[in-house]
Order: sequence, then structure tokens, then C-alpha cells
Amino acid sequence: MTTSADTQRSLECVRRFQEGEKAAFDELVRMHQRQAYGFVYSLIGNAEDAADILQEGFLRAYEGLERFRGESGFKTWFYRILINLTRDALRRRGRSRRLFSYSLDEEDENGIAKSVPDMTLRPDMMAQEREYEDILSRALCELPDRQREAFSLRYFQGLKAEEVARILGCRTPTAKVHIFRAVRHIGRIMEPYIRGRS
Amino acid sequence: MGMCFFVKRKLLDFAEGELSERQAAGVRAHLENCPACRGRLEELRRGLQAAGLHRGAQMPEDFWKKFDAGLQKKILERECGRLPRAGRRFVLVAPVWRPALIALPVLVIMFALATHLRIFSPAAQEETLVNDAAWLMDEASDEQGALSSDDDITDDMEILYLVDPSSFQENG
Repeated sequence: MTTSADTQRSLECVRRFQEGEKAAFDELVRMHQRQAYGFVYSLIGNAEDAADILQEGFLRAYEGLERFRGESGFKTWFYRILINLTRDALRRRGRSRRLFSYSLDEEDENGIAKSVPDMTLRPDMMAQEREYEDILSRALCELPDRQREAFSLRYFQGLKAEEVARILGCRTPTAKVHIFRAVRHIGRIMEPYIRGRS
Repeated sequence: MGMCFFVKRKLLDFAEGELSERQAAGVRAHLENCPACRGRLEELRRGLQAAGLHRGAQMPEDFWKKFDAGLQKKILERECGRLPRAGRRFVLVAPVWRPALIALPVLVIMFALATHLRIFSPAAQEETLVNDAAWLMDEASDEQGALSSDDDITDDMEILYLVDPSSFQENG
């Protein structure tokens, strides 16, 4: 989670970098790399790709930081870069095959999904924590780009809907719709596992 | 059921407990009579629970060391691409040799400066003057036919003997 102190510190580093202090960029990297890695990983679901994208993201930031005018926070600006790189990577790779056999639009009169998630992913067949992350990661990959990004920013990065909207470049109500759909989708996919845990 | 459209928009905030008490009461009243919205709320709660169980990707320190080294290398390569050829060569020299490359011209400059200072220092200038004076005095004594203390008489006699040995026999 980013506090206003972190935001100020980031902007201070950016200012120092723009004044010619190259070491300030290292500080920016140290401040953001772990959280940003978690974000990219949640979008792409692969450790190696996530590291490559993050490195490329920092490189782009390094090259573009001279032109950064501070109209948004560094994190907002940087996460936009990461989102674009991730979308490109996913497009190049081709979306992984669908793992869950249901559609968000299909629901019965009680608002419950008609088809059930793939039973090969039943929780009793999996070692708990690691498998849980794996399923969640794959469930996220099932979501449309915007929903996945909104979900990850809101719940893994702890940002408010307004900040999510700024990063995604849309209005706040639109961001809220993306978040709503994503949470519901994840809720359906993770149902067997959540039930298994409780 | 007409209310579903409005309640649906508030359901996530309701599930997260971010609605005011008045709004929450309205949603609760609707939920009592609407199984569809209750179903949606259940899904949202499960989704939130799933997100809450997420631990995030915790990578070991080694991973970050490699990551930082890789990033530095890439930044260097990009920087290098902007430099003229000579600068590019310098950047591409292995890091262990870079201090030596910088130290070499510095050492040459320091040596040149030291030499310069030694030649032009007051002590060195005084020594030069003394040497010059001694040399001039020797020259003057030679012109008067006297031998200077520094001349090697033996060497001169050897030369004279080689040129004309008879004169040495006559004079003993």
C-alpha cells in the first residue's frame, strides 16, 4: 500500500533524477520493485515473464523520467507503463487456454453461475497455500484485461477505486464496474476452494 | 426486482462495509426479498475472501540481486547506445579494468607535474645555478692553463703517451 509519504518520496527522487542525480533512480527502483513485481505477476501469472516486464518497465521509466511532469504520482505513471507492457506480452504470447468452463454472463434466476468450475481444480487434490496462489493466478488470467488489472490494483495493491481509475485511464464508476465484475468472477471460480477451506 | 439495478451497484461497497448505515439498511431490506441479489452478494463475498487469502509473490533476496544486476546492465547498454563510439568502448570495458583506465592518465599527469615542479622549484633552480657557476669556473681555469680539481690527470697522460711515447722515454 502506498502512503502519501511514499508518494512524496517518489516525487522527490524523480526531481533529483531530473536534476542529474542518477543514483536517485536506484532508490526509486528499490522503493517500487517488490510491489510492482507482485502486480505484474498477478497480471501475467509467470515469474520469469513478470521479471522481464518489470525490468523493461524500469528501463522505460529511466528513459522517460526526464519528460515526467508530475501531473500524476510516479506510481500511477509507472504502473501505466507496466500495464501496457503486460498487455503487449500477453498479446504476443496469446492468451493461455481457458481453465474454467463458465461464462460470467450465464446465471440462473438466483444469480448463481449455471456451469461449474473445472473439477480437476478441486481443493482436496491440491496442496493448500501454493496451489491456492496457483489457482487464483490462473483465475485472474481468465479475466478480461481491464478487470484483472482493476482487481489486482484494488485488492493486491490496496488502491482506492479513484486511484485504480487514474491508472487505468478511465472514470471512477467504470473502474468500479470492472472491480465488481472481477470480484464476482473470482468468487465463482474460487468457490470450491473457499468452501473447502471453511 | 426493479430495484436490483440500483442495489447491484452498491453491493460491492456493502460487502466491503463501506456504505453509510442508511444505505446499508436499504440494501439489507432489498436482499431479504431478492434471492438473485443475495446470490450476487455471496459471490462477491467469496471473491473478496479469495483476494484476502492472496499472499503475494515473495521472492528471495538472490532473485532481487540478480534483478538489480540485470537492470543495471540493461541501463548501461541503453546509455551506451547514446554515447559516441569512444565512450561506448569505455563503458563496455569490464568493470575491473575501468579504474585502471581512469588511473593511467591521472598517473601520467601527476608524473608530468612532479617532474615540472622538480625542475622549476627554487631549490632545483639554485642547484642549476651552482652547477653552471662551477662549470664556468672550470672553463676559466682551463683557459689559464691550470688543471681543475675535477680533471683526471692520469687519463690525459695516457692519451699523451699513446700519441707520442718517445717524449716520455726522453723525459723519464
